[in-house]
Amino acid sequence: MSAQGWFYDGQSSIRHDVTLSLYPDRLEINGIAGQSAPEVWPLDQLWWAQPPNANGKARLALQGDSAARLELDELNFIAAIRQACPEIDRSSKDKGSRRRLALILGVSIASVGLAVFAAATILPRVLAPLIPASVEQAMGKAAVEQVIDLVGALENNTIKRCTVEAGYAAMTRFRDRIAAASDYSGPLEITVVDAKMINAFAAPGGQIVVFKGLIDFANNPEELASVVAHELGHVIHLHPTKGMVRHIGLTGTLDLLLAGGGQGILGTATGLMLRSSYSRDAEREADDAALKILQRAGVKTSGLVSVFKRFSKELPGMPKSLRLFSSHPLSEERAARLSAQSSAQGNAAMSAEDWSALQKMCDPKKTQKK
Amino acid sequence: MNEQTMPDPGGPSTPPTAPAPIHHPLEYFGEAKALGWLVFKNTILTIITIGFYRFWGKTRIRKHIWSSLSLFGEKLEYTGTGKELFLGFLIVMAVLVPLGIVVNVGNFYLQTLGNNHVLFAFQATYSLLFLFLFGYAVFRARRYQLSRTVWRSIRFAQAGEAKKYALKFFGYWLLAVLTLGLAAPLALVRLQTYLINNTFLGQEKFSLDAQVKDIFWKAILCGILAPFTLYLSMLWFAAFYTRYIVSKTHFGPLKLALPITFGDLAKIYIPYILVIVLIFAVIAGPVIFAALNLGSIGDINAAAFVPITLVLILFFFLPTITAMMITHRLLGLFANKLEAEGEIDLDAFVQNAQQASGTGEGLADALDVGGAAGIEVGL
Repeated sequence: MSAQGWFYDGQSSIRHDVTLSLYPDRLEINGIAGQSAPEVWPLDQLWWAQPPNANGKARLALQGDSAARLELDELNFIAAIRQACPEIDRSSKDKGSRRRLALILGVSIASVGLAVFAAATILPRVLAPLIPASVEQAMGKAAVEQVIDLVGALENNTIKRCTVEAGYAAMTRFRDRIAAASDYSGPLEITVVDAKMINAFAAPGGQIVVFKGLIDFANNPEELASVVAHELGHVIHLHPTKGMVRHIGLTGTLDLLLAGGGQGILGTATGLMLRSSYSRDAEREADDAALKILQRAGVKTSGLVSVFKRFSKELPGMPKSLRLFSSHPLSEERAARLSAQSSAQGNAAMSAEDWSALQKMCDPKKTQKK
Repeated sequence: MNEQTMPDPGGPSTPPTAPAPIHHPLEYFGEAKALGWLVFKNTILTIITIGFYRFWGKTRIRKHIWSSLSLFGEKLEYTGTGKELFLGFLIVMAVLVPLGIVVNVGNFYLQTLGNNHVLFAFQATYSLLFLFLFGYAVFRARRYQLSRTVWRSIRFAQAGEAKKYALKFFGYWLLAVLTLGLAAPLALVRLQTYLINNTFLGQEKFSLDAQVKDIFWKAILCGILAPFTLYLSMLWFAAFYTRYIVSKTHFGPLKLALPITFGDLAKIYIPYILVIVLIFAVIAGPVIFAALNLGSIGDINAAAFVPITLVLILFFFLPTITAMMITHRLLGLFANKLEAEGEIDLDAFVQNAQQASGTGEGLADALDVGGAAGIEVGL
């Protein structure tokens, strides 16, 4: 079978009008100017440099580095080539590279997985205890400022620290009490800030921040005490410090590996998921520590289960997708553990006067009136 | 040998005594829908493969675009492969990962120490290093793409040295920063000149004879006006600059011209910006509204969801919209307007033995230089 075509030899831009002949094992190209013998292309080395398009124009090439190209547009002939070498539609520039490529790709994905795993689990555990206390405290202070700024931006408000003296004294008494009940001997600073958010968090270096919203939300001092003890549990287990190391490690690793070509968001989202899944273990550890602390301090532990239960119940408008990222997820398992181990036996977390002082801690005027 | 000259399609036949003929050498046959669909598929596959598909995706897009362009009646061909891009990425990661760890950890550590002088010195040092690497990446990416662009079996090529270009890039842009932008026109012209004067098709050379003084005042005016014109002056300057640079470019016996105007670019970019704004208003509006309501209940995560949603919307749809509204239209515009004046023998190009390395533009990928199509307007 034969057809007309155009040949470029890969050395010059001259267009040769050529005649093509198809044999069972080869394609012969005749009529190349300055070359009497035909150019012979084995069928098993052909690939489409330009696959045939709607109007039938196609460009053939030989595998390897050869730049020579053969153009053809006779549909019958193209069909015949396809029939004679059924592999052609799957062939590409270099032959037999698929398996090697799959191997490299597999190894790469595995090493990304390994790097992420190391950054998320091993690195924080190893590095967090090694960080000097002064650095840890500086890190914590910076983190507290950042979170307060962020909450301020969300609530459209400049967030102030609550400094009414009676409340501050009450908080200090409470702090000393739970610190004494724990094995923790490092610095511990509990700050109350005037924000509506119902939450509390721990930062590296023994810094616990309680939002005023949480004090308003608590039905009794035991509920507040439970959350603070829970945060102290995080501090004892170095969770905030580990979290920071993990954050730096994960952001760095994921951003670098996946960032190219605008994939940064993917890295961020993946990192967020990973971080939140790791926090589940941390929550359990903090719960256990909180139970121990409250028991040793002689405070009833029923507040622990009631406050976290109400947390998730009283945020009804919150869609599921958001709960995934929630900082205190209450799983069935966690609720069951807490219920089983807590008891309504014990004393109040603080005196009624202290509790009342705490509730007014962010409102200097009210205290003055009294 | 048939000494053929490409006739100007649709133009009158040229009498022998007439002035040099004007060709329209470039034609673009692409369809916005086909390109958009390809880009969208790539986006999805890239997400599914946590980013690893992008090398093959980029290659498919380039093959598609290149083969939609014909130069003097012959379709261009992109001969790069996903494997090359991927290997280039791996090599670069070996350098960038340790560097990234040092930068991240150092930055964080110094931030917490609170010594602003040391922090500034550290940040300045790695910013300068990245400025150098950026120039290197630009050059390597261009060299790779040109060497994988084939016309009539003859390769384009970027000669010159990546290191040299990176040093120039570093020096001129540092100077531009230190002079508060006054040296930016100098940087533009010198760097462009280095690139174009080292660009070849086979053994035929491109050359650029541009003068800083020709663009200086317009560039300064553009910079001054930018904040007052919603940055439209940038578009005006981009049109002028592209027009100017191409008009000072010669390719062998041909003198080139690309008479595009501010209006041409505005017709492409302004609808694009409007569409993006509209998408945000329609899709992101309800999300923001919902989050504001939730925010009053007081959970930090409700509000944190807003930027994630916005970013995801952009992530999924922006590449497709950009391809259809910017890449496709710019290609059409350039192909339509490009002119070449002079006699040219299409059979006279000879292959150059020089060949770029086997791996792709890893650094450019990692630093995110240029778009998938590697098309930059003017700048």
